Amino acid sequence: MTLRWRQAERAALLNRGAQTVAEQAAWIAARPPSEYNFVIELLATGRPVGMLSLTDIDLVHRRAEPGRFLIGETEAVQGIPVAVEAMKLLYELAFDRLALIRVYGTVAADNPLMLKWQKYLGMKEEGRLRSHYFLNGRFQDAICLGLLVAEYRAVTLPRMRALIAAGHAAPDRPSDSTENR
Amino acid sequence: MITGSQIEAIIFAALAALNAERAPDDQIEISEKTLLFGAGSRLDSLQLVSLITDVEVALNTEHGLEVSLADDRALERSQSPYTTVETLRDYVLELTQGT
Repeated sequence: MTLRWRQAERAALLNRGAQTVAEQAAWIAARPPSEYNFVIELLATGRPVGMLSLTDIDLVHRRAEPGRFLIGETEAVQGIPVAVEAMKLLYELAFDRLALIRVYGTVAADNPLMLKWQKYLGMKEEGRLRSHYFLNGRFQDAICLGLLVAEYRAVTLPRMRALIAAGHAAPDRPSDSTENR
Repeated sequence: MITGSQIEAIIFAALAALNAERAPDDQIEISEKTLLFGAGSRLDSLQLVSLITDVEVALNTEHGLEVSLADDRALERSQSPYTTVETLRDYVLELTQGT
């Protein structure tokens, strides 16, 4: 399932993933204890629709990198704030349960939807890594983003709550993600 | 003061920007009745955020208005302001009345 999602057009702006089921299974089995990997499921049906992770968790410097964020079943999440609820659960893990003070990551410059998304939900642009990714046959920059815990509470949470409320009338909502640490 | 038709034009432009990223056979109809988010909508969370961002930026750059469309005020509504183009237009109009 996750291999199919990773090979879909929507994943074209992520790093190249496994090419076979065996490779994907080996990759999953090799995940280190410094990361959590989740499958996003819909509450009402339990249908898996996507995945996301919290990686490079550093409890000394109290930081981590959210990533591998991919909605694989796009038609199943139209009109439903699945991605917002999933990110909210991940941030609760990062900032409330693990008491981190910072999350950070990079987004390909050619991924404007994801850049708008991350910035609207509080991420600040902290830099640019030139020609950092080779994606879709060419090199492109990586935009470095970061979010501090105070910004999460002041900006991210109210916006997430409003966006989640926008989908409250929808018939199917996501559940707590299924953990595959 | 900004008018309802000016706000509607901004929302239409934001939808057109989303359509530019979609396949020709997967275009979103653009009208005041277009469903934005909730049951029956064809937008996902990322596209909704893109639309909200584009509308907020256009309100600022074209009309000098600082408006936050996703905050606690949106939570207090009995109907989500993001349900249709019409409800979003009316919500923006309400927010900008006092600015």
